Amino acid sequence: MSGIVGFFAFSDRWNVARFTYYGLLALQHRGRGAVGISLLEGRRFSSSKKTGDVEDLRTDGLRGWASVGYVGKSDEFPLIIKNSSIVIDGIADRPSLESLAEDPLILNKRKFAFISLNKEGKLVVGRDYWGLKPLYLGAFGFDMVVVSSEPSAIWAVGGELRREIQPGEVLEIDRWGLRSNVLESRRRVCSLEFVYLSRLDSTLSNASIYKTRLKLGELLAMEYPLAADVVVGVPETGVPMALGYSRVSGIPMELGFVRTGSHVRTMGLEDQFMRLVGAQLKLNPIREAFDGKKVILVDDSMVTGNTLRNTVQWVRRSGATEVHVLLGSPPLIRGCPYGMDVPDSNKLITSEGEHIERIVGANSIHWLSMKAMYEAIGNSDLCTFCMGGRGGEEP
Amino acid sequence: MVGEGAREHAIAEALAGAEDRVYVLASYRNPGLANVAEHTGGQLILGSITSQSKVKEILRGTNPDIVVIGPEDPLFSGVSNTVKEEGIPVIGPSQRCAMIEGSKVWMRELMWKYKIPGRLRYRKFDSLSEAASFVRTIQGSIVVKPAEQVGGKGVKVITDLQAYLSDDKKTSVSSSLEEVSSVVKGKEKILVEEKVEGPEYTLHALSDGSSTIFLPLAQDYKHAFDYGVGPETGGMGSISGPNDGLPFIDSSELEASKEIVKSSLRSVELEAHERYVGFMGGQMMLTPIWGPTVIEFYSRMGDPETAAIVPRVHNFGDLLHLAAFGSLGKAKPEISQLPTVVKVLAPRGYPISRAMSTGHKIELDLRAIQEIGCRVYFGSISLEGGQLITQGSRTLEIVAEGDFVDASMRIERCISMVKSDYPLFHRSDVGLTIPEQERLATISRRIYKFKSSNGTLGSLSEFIPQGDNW
Ligand SMILES: Nc1ncnc2c1ncn2[C@@H]1O[C@H](COP(=O)(O)OP(=O)(O)OP(=O)(O)O)[C@@H](O)[C@H]1O
Repeated sequence: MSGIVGFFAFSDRWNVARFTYYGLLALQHRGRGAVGISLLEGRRFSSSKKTGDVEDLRTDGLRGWASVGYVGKSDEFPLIIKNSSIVIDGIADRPSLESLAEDPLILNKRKFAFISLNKEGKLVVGRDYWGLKPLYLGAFGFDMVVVSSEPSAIWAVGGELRREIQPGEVLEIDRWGLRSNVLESRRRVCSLEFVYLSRLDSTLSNASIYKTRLKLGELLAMEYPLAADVVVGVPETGVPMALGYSRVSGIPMELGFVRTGSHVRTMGLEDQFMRLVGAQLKLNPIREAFDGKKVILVDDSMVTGNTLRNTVQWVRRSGATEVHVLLGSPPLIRGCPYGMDVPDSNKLITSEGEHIERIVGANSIHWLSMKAMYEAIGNSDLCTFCMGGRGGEEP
Repeated sequence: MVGEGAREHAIAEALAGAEDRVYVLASYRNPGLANVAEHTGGQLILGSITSQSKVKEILRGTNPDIVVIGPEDPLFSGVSNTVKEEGIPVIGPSQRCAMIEGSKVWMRELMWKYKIPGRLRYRKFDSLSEAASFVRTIQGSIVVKPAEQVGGKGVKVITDLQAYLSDDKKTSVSSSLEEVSSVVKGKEKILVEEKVEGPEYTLHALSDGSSTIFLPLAQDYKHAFDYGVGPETGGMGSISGPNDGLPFIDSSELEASKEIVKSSLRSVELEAHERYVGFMGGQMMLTPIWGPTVIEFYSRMGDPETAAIVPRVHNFGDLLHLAAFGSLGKAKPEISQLPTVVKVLAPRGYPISRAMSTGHKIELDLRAIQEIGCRVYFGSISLEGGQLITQGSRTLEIVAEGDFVDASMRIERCISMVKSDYPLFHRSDVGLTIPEQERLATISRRIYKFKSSNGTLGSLSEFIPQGDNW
């Protein structure tokens, strides 16, 4: 999982180094661990890479009128191949990156979205074959084009969102214009983008992420009308879902947690220990929301269950009498072949079968049905492979 | 007719429709204008459109009933004055009246002096270094422009709501001031004004010196490339209608805009001590701060707005005659209900490199395009030895009448009939952006109505930490 951006100014006067930096800051929710940018000045790239957070990246002294930027788990981006500096979101092997540097219009079922800047001053931007990875086009006045994994980066620099780039579309941008090439594609938007990855203020495939998450909660209330005193969402993604649940069920919603420490995205962290630390760093319960109450705890999804297990324990220690967990998506049962951090089946908590409740320590756990998730997103072109549904290859 | 582009082609056709014989002064052989001249028994005469002596020579040779001046440059250089001195009625304001367009500083000063609504805060600078230090210290979003009309170039719109990028943005702008002002001739070099937002539209008035009538609204597409990205251009397309408006401007906003343009026009007359005869175009924006707001004024018709407007005004040619003879009082434009869409074709390279976009051959099947029900106005393209050669700016304007989406699609079909071995580009989204414009208008409307109700119209709404140093 990663966030990518590209900036392209129509005049050499602009230095887009800091724009790129702030763009990446606004994409950190998509993945963490490493960060890198490349800038073009004259016919030379200057690059800076770092393992760590975007805040750790140094931009002083960097200059260029066009750029690409990456934030995510891999420390190899931007990758310079031949004349191009490339960043991607998704999965790519070396040969496909090389063929991309050769000819970005070659038809293949690319499993990644990319932004590639070449030394001649051309920015090429492409979304994957299925549109699994989001990608957007924006403008900063008459001076720049901005492309980004999410609108957040466009807004972060004061730009205006223009449109979503379509699945399979490759945009070539130079001083003389934008050319859109629509290659073969089959729309399969990633359902996890809706459920937890995209930022709440994004719109993907014509669906507002915020409204979708509210609806996921509303449908949870229809499918599981539980008796409880309060409903609490696990920040960030669980909160709008809890709100939706509360509206339909009439059970009051409480804010149960304070965010503390840095924004550690636990799903993206490889290391078991780090996940636990991450979870504890992230949230601290508000005792008064839980004490003596039957609690419905709403979260987006469950991967290994470790985070949720801890959260449930915090809630119990805060005095809850019962904890019922509701998840705003169907169970994740197999790994993602397209680069989302869903580990292989044997690492998923769903492999534990009946024992899940016991492991998590909840009185009950329920998952939203597949049908309801489709209804909430309002889009039938979804990839639900990790939930046992249709992937990119199936018709 | 003085002038040589697509706007003049559209106006000349309207004159032909009023059974005029049309003589044209143009600096290259625009095939459209040449054709109108030939069919009406007139003539296209090559020569500099800003040369007073050339104009006099032609006037004496052709003895026209009226003269229509299309572009701004001849107005700035006093061609209207020359025609008037020869005793011929002319559509196009005098040199002094044309200051409303020629000097953006004069325009802003006038609006403040006469307290015309829709005026923006601004600062003018003779010295680039003073402008640079102002730009570096002013808080908030700004627009930096050359102080004079230099033809759709050099405007920097800098949205600066994020304090953290302020330095980068303002440093880049201050380092490009030299570029921005490079073509400015006068003493005042740079205008810095507050940035506003909202949908843009153009309202043209035609004045005979005492009465004023209004043409239907139009909207111009300023960015070079599809979906509103890329550098500023003279305009890559336009829309007009239905009726006398646009879908995203309501009738009270239209009326308020008319008031603004009319009172500006009368103020120009007061300042210049002369009658204003000709077109005045208000390039407006529906902003949260004022509602209808003036971005700039034209002392002529906008291009490519003209191509969208003229075909919708059935008695356009007659209106020009009435204006020239001071009889507009009785006149009313006959406006068609259906909208129009205009798409502009330009050679690759425009608007950044004139060298790249000049000297390319194009071919088009005019008959086939007309069969689809579209019109072609020829712009920056010359007929040389039987071939059509690009002149470096916007080449063709293709117009279709009908519902926006349908008209936009029909033009796409026409564009596929224009051939060139050099790449031409256009914006395919012209006519397809109405929902977005409606959304912008709604936001502006909610805010300006609130401001109007609590008496803060025109004042800044944002908190500026170091105070408002306009
Ligand atoms: N104060 C402002 N706030 C926001 N945008 C502005 C402002 N002033 C100008 N602009 C933007 O810049 C564009 C060009 O500005 P303006 O019309 O002043 O320049 P010009 O070069 O004279 O253009 P034209 O080709 O129309 O004569 C406007 O259409 C508008 O989009």
